[in-house]
Amino acid sequence: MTGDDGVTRAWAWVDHLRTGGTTPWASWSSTGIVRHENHGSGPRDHDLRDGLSRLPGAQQLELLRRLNEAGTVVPALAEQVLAAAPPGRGQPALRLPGVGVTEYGARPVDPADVPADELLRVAAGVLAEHLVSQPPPHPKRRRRLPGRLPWHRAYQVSGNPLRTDAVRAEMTARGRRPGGRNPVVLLLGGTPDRMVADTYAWRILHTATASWRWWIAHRAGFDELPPRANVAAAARHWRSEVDADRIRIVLDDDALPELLGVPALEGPPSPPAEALELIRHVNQVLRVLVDRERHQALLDHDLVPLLAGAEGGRLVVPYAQRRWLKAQARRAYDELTGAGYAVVGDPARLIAEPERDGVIAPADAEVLALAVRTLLRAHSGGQDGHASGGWGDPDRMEASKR
Amino acid sequence: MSAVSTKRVLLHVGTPKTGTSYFQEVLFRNRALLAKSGILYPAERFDAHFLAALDLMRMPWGGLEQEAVGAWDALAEQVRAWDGTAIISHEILATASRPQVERALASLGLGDGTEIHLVLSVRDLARQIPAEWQENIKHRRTFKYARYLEQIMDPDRTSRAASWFWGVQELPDILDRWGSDLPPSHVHLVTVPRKGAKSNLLWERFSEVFGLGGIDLDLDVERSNPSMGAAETALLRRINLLANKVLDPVDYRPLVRELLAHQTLSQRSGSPRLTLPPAVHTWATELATSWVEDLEKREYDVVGDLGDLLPGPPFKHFADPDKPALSQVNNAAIDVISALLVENARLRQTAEDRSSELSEARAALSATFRAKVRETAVRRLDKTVTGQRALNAYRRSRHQRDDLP
Repeated sequence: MTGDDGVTRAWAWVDHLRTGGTTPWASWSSTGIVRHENHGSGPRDHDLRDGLSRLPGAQQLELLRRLNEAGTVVPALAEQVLAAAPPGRGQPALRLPGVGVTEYGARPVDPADVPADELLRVAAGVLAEHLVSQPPPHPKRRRRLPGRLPWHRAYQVSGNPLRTDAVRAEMTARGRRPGGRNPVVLLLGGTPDRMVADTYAWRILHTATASWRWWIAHRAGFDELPPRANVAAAARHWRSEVDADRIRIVLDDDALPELLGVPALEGPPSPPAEALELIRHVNQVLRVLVDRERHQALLDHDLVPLLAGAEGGRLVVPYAQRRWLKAQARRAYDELTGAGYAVVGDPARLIAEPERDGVIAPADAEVLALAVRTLLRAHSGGQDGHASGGWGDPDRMEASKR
Repeated sequence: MSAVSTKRVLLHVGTPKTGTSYFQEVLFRNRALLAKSGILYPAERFDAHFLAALDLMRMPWGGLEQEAVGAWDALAEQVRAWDGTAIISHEILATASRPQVERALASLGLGDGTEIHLVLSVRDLARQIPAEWQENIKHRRTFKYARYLEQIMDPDRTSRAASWFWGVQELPDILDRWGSDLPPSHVHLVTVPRKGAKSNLLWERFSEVFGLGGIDLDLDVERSNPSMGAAETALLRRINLLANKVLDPVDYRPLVRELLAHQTLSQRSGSPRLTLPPAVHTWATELATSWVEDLEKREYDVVGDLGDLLPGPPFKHFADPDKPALSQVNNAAIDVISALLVENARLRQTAEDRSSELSEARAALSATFRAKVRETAVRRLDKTVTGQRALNAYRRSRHQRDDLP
């Protein structure tokens, strides 16, 4: 095959993908050029060198093919993928085998062999650019929430940040903001592995970008629990604000409604590991695209709701950090039980063995599959909706900020 | 290239380790003087073009990227608004992808009557490869030298280190990405002179290509990106193995890269230089020869000599940083400990100074508060007859007390 033939074949494949084709490059033999109205950015009549240099990389092409396999790709999304510049560090635009001859750059790669992490890099970039391109939501007229009534119990919640945010949000929506005179302080604890995993999840939902494995190893290197997962430290803090008998260590979620004087509360959000990993990848791009405030708003109002229905395993502590975590948990247990705080629930939960069934490092292929579904959903205008009331319910996220 | 004739942009996109830090510092320090000569170096801070490059390439960089939001567009807007010559310079731009290059050139006015010149400063691979490994080590990496060489020599280039290396060092590919839309006469290669050339020769070449001759620039700047020896780099790699577990990127930068690498280890002399092993030197020479043959055909403007890209003869003795002389590493480690102690003492002194200042400020605030309370009390008492009587009684008692012997 001549260089001309290869380039022509490649551009025909681009057109095939643009129109929803799913044929892999290795099986693609056509050199027929399909012309289309409105999306003819390919240099069909340009010379060979230009046609070669403007050919999208194998990463972009394979991502578009996988999107086509997963659903209906609107033209705008197809063009966005083909024109995408993969963000951050990674492979350069990879060339297709059998297309043109250049001595430089990385070796040509069959798109089917492009590693999932490279496709994920492109997908995260496209998703981030899409989020940023959306007009900011009109500021909602803030609902006037009912005020606290005299017989409402004054309270404060602290501890597990995912749970704390959820409780504050729901209580605020009921007109029961935290605070008030001489409050009961509810420190929401749990098993040590859940506390650190939920703290990590909360950070990712608040624009952080560190991987789970790095972050937990880093905390272990410091030999201290992250502050939001450290109930003993929280108790110490509140001991200086209120009398010790106002502090409750809450280890039983079912007991919370009664402690707060409400009939029921929703369960804590539990983002699956793959969803967190995708958010983390998108965070890496959003951090350089928008300021922190807009970044948080895009997570709360756009990305997290898109992922609200995602399912999968939860993060568990890697083997290398379990011993450290158990030692930390024992130290916290001794401090809390020694200080005589009231404990609601089984104190043994504070030193429970870390779970083993779960995800230590989300597989790139799984995260990529979720990214593909999320891109399709984002470009469908969210018509297939999200699981309202799920872990990413925007109303809950909004209320938690008040 | 003359300084001012039309609206034009001189875009310097690399490569790293070719004197770019020094060049950028000179431009930054002299930007007011340059502006008087019709040359814009648009930068409010030294790293402005670095931030713009991070923005253009959506590149995370240890948290710095958060300061880069919108930086490229802001830079391009300043350049478009300038009637004259504008200079943009950052070496990580070399790794930009084709779509990023297109965006960059369009934003700077390509096709709108603006004359865009691409400048690439280049150095031979026998010096660039060890220098890039050292840069990796100064950015928290922990792979050994041999492993790094294996990765960059692997034709698949699948590792992150290899992708980055070739992205910023494969000269013909960089020029394909950046130069395809420009006439060859608008592409300028500045070669870094061979070792032993006169010390200001590289600056003279930069000055020529950027049209800085005749401007009385202050060239006495401190900022540079100095190199470390083999033992020092080996030590830093070992420090990374431990420090990475406990240091956040935001702390690594000032403590390890600045304090240990730049201010301490780079200042040492006497330990052997980082060079290429003989077999790799041969491979690098062959590769460089093929590049030079290609570049000679491209009709670019070469400032210097393409022969500078051919590595000199290999060093007689290769000092392997994976098996460094322990005495040299120990001596470097003692310097590091000393630097950390001095820094610690400085920080303690700073903390004590701040504590004293805080105490003084608290005392002053307290005195002001007491005076304010007294003043308010007097004003209120003065408004009523009973209050005036009480005030008079108080003053009489104070007077009598003050008169006591």
